[in-house]
Amino acid sequence: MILPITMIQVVFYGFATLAIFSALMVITQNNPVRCVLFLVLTFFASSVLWMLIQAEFLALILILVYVGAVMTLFLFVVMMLDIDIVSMKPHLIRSLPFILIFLAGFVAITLSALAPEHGLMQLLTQSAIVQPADYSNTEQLGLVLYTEYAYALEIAAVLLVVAIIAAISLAHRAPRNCKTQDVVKQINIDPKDRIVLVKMQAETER
Amino acid sequence: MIPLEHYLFLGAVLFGLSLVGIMLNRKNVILVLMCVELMLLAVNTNFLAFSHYLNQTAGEVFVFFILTVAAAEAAIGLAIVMLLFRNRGTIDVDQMNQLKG
Repeated sequence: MILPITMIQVVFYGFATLAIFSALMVITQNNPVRCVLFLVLTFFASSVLWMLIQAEFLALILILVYVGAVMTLFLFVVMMLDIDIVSMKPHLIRSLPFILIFLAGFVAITLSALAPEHGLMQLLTQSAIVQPADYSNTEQLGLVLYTEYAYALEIAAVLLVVAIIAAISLAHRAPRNCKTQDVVKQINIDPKDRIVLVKMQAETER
Repeated sequence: MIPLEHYLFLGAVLFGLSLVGIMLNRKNVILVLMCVELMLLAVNTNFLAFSHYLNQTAGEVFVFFILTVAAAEAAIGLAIVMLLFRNRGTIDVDQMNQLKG
């Protein structure tokens, strides 16, 4: 899919602006639910930008896994907890110059990596990379993921299992109002306390 | 063709905004976690941009693993926030001083 150049630029600058705007909203909103929703909007906008640089698989993963699972989890927790909403406006206005200086510094540092004396620009492909029509980003990723990075992939799988176990064992609460066994009590029981043998005369039939 | 600088600019702005968000916010641990997610997104954008413009797959694989680790981090982080709220009744960053650190 090759769009005309101007179309690509329109999509890029439109969604880049949307991403920056919604990121700004994430840090300035008072209501945490709105913050989560703006974060979802940021993810959608960046997913479009990732599509533009032909990372289709990761762009879709970002929407399916990130927006579909992780952000939903955030939304659940935000709605479950009783968070007091505090206005950030005075704080925000006080620190506005600081924020602007900080952002400018950050952008300058990143862009200084592209200065000609580092030689990075020579490494970059000068002409536009146009992949053939049957190019599959997912296939390319899978080819290296299961060969070169197979060990790392297994470690990532183990990491996810560890995360599941950790999250469940942290957040799980033993049920209170249902009947369960108390194993310690069961083991420590003494048979003598349970059964009392009483000696008595045998009953005889008249 | 979008030049690489514009992707880097976007990544830097997103990263800076999320860093500012962490420093600005004194009330809510969940917002801090969300800003960390935003940071990872900015870093991922940089990785993908370089991966595309250097024509290498390694950057995309790295983004894949970052997404995995971020999902694990979010799950455990939110579980800890739940525990914190259950035990303390608040998730205020300023009130987390029980260890007197």
